[in-house]
Amino acid sequence: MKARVIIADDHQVVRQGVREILSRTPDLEVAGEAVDGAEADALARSGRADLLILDIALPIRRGIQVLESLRADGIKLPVLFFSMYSASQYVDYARHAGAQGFVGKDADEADLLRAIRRILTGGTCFPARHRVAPDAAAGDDPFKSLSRREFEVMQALAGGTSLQEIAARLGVSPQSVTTYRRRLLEKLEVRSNAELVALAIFHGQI
Amino acid sequence: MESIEAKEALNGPLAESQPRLKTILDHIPSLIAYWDRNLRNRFANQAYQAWLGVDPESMPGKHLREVIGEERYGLNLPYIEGALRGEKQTFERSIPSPDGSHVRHSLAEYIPDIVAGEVQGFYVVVSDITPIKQAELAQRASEERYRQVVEDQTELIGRSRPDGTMIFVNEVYCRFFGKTGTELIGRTWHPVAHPDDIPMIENKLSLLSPDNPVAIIENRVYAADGCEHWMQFVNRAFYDDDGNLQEIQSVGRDISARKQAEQDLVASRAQLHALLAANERGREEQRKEIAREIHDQLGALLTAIGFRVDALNRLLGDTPQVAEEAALIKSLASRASLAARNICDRLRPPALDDLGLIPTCRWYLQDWSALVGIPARGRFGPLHSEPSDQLRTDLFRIFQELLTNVAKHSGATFVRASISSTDHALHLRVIDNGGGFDTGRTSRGYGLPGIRERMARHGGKLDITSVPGASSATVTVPLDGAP
Repeated sequence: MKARVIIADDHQVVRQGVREILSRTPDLEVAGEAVDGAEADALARSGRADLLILDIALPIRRGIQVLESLRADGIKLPVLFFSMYSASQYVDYARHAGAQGFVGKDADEADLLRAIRRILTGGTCFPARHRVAPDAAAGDDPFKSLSRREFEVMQALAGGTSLQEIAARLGVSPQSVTTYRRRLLEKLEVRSNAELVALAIFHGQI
Repeated sequence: MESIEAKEALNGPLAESQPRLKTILDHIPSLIAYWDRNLRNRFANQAYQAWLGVDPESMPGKHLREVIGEERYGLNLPYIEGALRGEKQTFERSIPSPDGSHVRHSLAEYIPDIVAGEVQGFYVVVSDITPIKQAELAQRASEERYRQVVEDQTELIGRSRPDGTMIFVNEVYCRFFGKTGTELIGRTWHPVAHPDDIPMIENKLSLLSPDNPVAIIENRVYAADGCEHWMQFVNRAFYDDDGNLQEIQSVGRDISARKQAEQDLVASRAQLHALLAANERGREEQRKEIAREIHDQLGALLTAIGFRVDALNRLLGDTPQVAEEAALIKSLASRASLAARNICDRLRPPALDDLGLIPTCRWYLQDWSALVGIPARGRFGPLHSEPSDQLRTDLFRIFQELLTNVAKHSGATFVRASISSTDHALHLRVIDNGGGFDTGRTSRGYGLPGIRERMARHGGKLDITSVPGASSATVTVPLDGAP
């Protein structure tokens, strides 16, 4: 028995292309075609299909609205987005909203079929997100390593307050403030107040 | 009937008191004398010596004419006759000193001496009122000068009592309002002022005090031509020594031209902002439209070309050359499709409308980071509520602009971006570790003024902190009606 697939796309050339691809497979067949979001939604609710191939840029109702409405009503029909839009814009959303896959329209026939079959066997198929490896050192918040007192002194220093004034404000001796300053500069790996200010700005502390 | 004994009895104490009385009278700086009904002198004090050069001791028994001279006697005769009729006389005289060095301005009083209904004679009291007279003259001269100064002004000048009643208006004031002084004086200033401005004027006048005696008020009035004019009045309050308001002097000038220019400027600014906003909206709409067209028309065709090439390849793919060509066309179509998508994203990423601000900014930061090669870390949302379409668009464009600035100018090697919201405000921040810049200058291209312009539409602001090694740009937008 063949798996039944709904094709929802407002472009006839696209529907035709997908139909031809599916028709040449031994295991897949077209259960219906929708030219807009409303039709896609109605077909999906008919219960006669195993998978919905869904464009995002559909008239009447956008593809994402169709998905949201199906999932909101507890309809678990697997959904594969087939879109010209950037996968990177939609992948996080699609996963979260309950879709099973996302294939770009510039994909190969083989990629499309692989995605369909993976989803039909209970899997998901999303493109790998290209991650920018963040600079590890710059990523972590070095200010977390400061004690509460050191943090107070840091904020005052970064705000341009003099050592004497900080001492008066915290009710400690200027020598103690100097000690706090030396310790916090070491922890933050900066050498001067100027570098401290830059670091504090960079981490949104001032 | 008085008995001789009684008179004698009285004369005793009188005689005793007479020298004392005489001493007092001689020291009073006024002429004091008594003339009987025949105008014979019965008494005169020492002042006669100083005033007229006449020895008072020589005067008793002398006729008035003899003492003051024919000419003055003639002048005074009507008063003399009046006094002899029993009527008190008061009149002013200028009396030259005996050596002619000065003139005494004097106030003369003839007080009839009436006994049993019969005029016996009259007392004369002549006081020196020169200082009063001089003060009066000086005041009159000063008032005359004031009047002349006031009349020479091109400004409107009016003076009013604390209750608003006009007590003076100058020519210009009358001309401006097309009224005569008589029509204006004695009434309050209220009818010439625009009714809507009266409470404001009264409020400002009520705040006048001895420490703060001047109020500059701009208000509308109706001029003689019936037209509304904008006036500026400098109101100065005058107080007595006890701090009681005596009067208010108002000097006004027509500032209609300036007001008009101000209003035109405000209107033209508002128009400029509106035009800019409309222009931006138009551009945004156009971008959305073009992106949709490219996506709909071109995108579908390129996808179809891919399908057709696959079909062709199936038909003729046994020939290696055909397969090679087919693969090439397929790859070109794929690249064209990618290019079309990039163009659409640059015009306006579809996610902005489909998914909202946060997913779009998250995607954009990654995309930007990969493109420019600057590592970036984002901390986004969640937001209390999705911003309006206009705000979302503006914030996304600002986000792009800030990142573009970082890439262009800062030499940064790391960027942090965040969007967060509280109940009352939404914050968007981009921080970089680049060289920093002078926050006082907007030399970073047109980016910052553009951002401020966008923010102004939403009542938001842009704060920038920059030192070598770190710069932070924070956009804050108030959210009204947020839960």
